[in-house]
Amino acid sequence: MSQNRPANGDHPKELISAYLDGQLEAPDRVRVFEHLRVCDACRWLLSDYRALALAARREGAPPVPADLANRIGKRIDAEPVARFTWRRRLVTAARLPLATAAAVLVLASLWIVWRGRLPGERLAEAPPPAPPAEASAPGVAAGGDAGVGSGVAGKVGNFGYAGGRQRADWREAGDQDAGRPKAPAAEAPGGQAPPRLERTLAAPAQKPDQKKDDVAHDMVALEEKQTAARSVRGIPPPEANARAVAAAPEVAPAPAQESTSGPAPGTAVEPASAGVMAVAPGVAADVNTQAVAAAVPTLVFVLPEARVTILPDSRVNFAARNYDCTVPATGPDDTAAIGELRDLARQGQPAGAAAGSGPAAGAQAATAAPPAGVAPPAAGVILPSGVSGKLIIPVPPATGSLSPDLAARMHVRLWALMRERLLARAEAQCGPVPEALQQFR
Amino acid sequence: MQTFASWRVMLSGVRRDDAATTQGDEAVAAAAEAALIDRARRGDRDAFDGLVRLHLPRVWAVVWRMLRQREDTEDVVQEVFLAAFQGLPGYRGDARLSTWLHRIAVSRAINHLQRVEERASRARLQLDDILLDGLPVAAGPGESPLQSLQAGELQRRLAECLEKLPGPFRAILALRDVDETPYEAIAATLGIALGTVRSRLARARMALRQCVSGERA
Repeated sequence: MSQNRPANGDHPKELISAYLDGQLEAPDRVRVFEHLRVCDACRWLLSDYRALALAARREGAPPVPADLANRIGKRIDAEPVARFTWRRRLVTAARLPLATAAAVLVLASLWIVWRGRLPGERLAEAPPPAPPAEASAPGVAAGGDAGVGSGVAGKVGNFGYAGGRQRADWREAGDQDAGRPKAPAAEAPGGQAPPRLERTLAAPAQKPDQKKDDVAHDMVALEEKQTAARSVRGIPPPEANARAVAAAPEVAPAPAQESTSGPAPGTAVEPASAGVMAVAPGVAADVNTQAVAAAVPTLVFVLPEARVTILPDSRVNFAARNYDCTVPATGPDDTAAIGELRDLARQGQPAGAAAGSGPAAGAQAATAAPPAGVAPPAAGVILPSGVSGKLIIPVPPATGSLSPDLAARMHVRLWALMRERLLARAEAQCGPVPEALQQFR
Repeated sequence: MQTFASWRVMLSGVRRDDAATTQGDEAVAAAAEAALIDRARRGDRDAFDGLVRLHLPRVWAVVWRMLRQREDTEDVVQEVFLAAFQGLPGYRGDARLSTWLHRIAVSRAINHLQRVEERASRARLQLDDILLDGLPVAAGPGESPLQSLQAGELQRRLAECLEKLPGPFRAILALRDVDETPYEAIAATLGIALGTVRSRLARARMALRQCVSGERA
């Protein structure tokens, strides 16, 4: 018991929440990581957060009232919007030449002033002028343009419609930087440089993604540690969420992997970007980097007429006839679900066939690989490629030598991930998914 | 069991040789929407009605998640499309129309929450009552009441508790946990500091967890 609770009883609750979102810098991330290793309660907390987020996403909105579209139309018709809009368009259209004229006037005035400062004409009491060519002219010109331009841009940006400019101003105890000036409103009907709210499907921000990847690596190691610890203490695996997420049967905990993939106690493990965990100086020498790298395999789920590939960088590719779409899956629950799938896939590998360590299986995959790089799967067997770390998983997996429990758990995880998250993302990015992928719904 | 040959034939049909067709379909759909937008900007009400019907479900869902009250959601959704119609001449297509509408919907929903928050009698939990330091993490090792809930019960309790949560908590949970909005964008949307996003999100999650697990109804 004592080893599962921090000595001082201090749980970094806020940090754990940010850890879930991949929003921590390295020192705090390591701190939380280390705390989670020794605190059962905080691991449950993190697990609960994930389950709640997943459930929140799963929750659907009630149906749209049948007559709402008509009511919207009537309300629009009742508003004197057209004349108002056109008047504002005219005003806006008139502003641009006015702004241009103002800028020209400013520049002309400066030019005249500068040209007037000829030797002999400058008054003795006048302050020394700034060097005209290097500083004064460009600076003033840039400032004038920026001032006028931004003014116009601001007007145009706010031109879209009246109202809706208020922003939430909740202040509660514990809020930080309560006196901070407010940021611009998120709503920008003019479509001009508003704060970005859209999901970054095509090009996610680099820094958050990197952090999320880091968290994914952290969590892989952490879950392995948890699995090992549970096997000793008899605590149910983290997939106990399955009872909340989906009614999946329990399976025996995976064998302990403490000596191969987990960091030594007190060792700071810093994630690296290429799927291999970089270990801080002082780490025990028995850390098997190959095993850690294999913790992030490519998963290829082969359906009868389609396939779904989860890449090591957590992008997911959907391929079917007339359909090829790759979407990022870097949200906190995406990462968690994919991590669980990878863990299950590892558990489902035939004994001695771990990626990179099974020469027979590797040779089989390498020689039999079809052009797309996908090996023909034997029914119910997860085959590692042995070269690229790919794991080929037939769908449905509940056949052959794969444990029925494991197959069911993988089935539940995969379906939940596809149905709740990724199919909609693929449709938003690439259009409706084909029939071959509709079975996930 | 599938033979290698049959798998190979099967997978050969899963090539990307028809990717161009998909992209072409997408381009056609985008062009059709652009045409609707163009007509709507010129005052074509039928075209705008088409856009409303196209985007209404998503806007409805966004607003519902934040307000969780049918009448309020209907009002705000109407406001969103009215604002969109009025702002359409200023829409330049820098972002997708769906993204643009999403921004308006979030902003309008938050404005509505701000207006009603003080008189929201249904918000039984008050922000000041929920200090992170006072929230228990768990009853003990290996125990979490939430983990023992069946999926249906979890969804039912979640729906109840989200209605009870204060609007700011509900909003930030919707933005982050459902929409996956980056912290920076949440800060800009709510007009709060980045650190506040983090602390509010932590308290919101903790409060929701307490409520769902039955520690505090």
